[in-house]
Amino acid sequence: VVELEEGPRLMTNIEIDDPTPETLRIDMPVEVAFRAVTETVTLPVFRPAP
Amino acid sequence: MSRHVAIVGAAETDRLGKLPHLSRLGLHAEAARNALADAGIAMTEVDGIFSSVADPNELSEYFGIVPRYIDGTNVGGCSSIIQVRHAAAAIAAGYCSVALIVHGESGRSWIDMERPGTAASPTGQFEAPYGAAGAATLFALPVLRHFHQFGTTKLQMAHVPAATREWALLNPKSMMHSAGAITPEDVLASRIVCYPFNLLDCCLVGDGGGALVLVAADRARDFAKPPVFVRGTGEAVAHRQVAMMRDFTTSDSTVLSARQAFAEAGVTAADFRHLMFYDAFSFTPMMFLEDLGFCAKGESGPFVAQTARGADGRVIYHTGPGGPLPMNTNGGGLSHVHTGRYGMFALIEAVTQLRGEAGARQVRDLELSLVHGPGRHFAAAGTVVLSNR
Repeated sequence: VVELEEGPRLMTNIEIDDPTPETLRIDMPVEVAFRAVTETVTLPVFRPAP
Repeated sequence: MSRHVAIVGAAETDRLGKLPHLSRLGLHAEAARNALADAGIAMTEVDGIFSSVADPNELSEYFGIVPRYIDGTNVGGCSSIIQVRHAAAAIAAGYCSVALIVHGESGRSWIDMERPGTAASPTGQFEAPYGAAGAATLFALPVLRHFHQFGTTKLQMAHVPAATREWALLNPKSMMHSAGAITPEDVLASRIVCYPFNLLDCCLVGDGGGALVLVAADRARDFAKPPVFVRGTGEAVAHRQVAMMRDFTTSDSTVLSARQAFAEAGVTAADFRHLMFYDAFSFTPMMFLEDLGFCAKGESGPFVAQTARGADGRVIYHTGPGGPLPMNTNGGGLSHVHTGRYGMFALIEAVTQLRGEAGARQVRDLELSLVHGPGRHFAAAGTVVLSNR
């Protein structure tokens, strides 16, 4: 679950290479990315903010 | 209002576990037959039907009756618990005189069961595409926040399944009755299902059912078994999708539901020595211990992990047999049975304990019992305070 700076929350995925409880920390800053699922469906996902 | 109502019949299906010879409706029928026999009352006397896995109209056909009051409240695992409140209200209002709350679910064999949700639903659109779709994935999110915020650990949480298994070893009907004791370390060593839940953190998947018969309290002495009085009830819903939970460390529906039940019954947490707190996962009852006031917010980890040693050297868990706060004494959803919606089984155990019929697992000198359950990962909640006086 990601909370946007603007307030709303959404279920999503955090995309990192090695997801573990240690690398995927609660409250870490993330930024949006987009995952193409099909030709017509694209999902917003998130990655650690640089 | 509800203190004028009593439970006069309560029973599970003959067996629990893997029952491929019974359909969803067959399980309802066996549960209803057993509860009515327990009360010593005929199906033809039933004029109110309360159900969630089956529609009341399916049951009127299957049971061959024409009830004048129906309730199909369908908010997940606590639906039966909430229906105690609805039955109490209906009886008090004169809308029915014999209320049958009945549950049957072919959770394991999946005979005549439906998969919930469609791709177009809010959860289908906004949660399932990310893999958040099974109970373990949805119930995990509040736990991770609790770990982060309060330092709660997997080892603390693992004391819940260990304590609950001790009760199942004393209940001949439990699916895990003969499976042997488990330690918190065994829980941590079982295979991972969905972090932070290992296999033994998760409830069972079984077939089964149960039913309750309720009547006005002034008739309650006319039946075969000692009555159990409904002293207070509560219910609430707070959201549907887990990501919409306001604060992942508090169940808003639980707090509001419990407040109503406690106020109606005139009780506080300190009055209870027997709890039936729906355990879909090891963590689930820990949320309720906090939100119903049995320990402070954030302290359920150390609270459930308290242990003592018995005279024979055995570990006594805080909520296990011999401990100060007996909880989930039938063996719970973790070790007794869980069909998908467990609320009815928690209610039946509370009645069994208050009647003094619990055999080797009987909690002595009991007058009050507290039943509380969630629906859909802390979204809905139902609370019932029961008494044998």
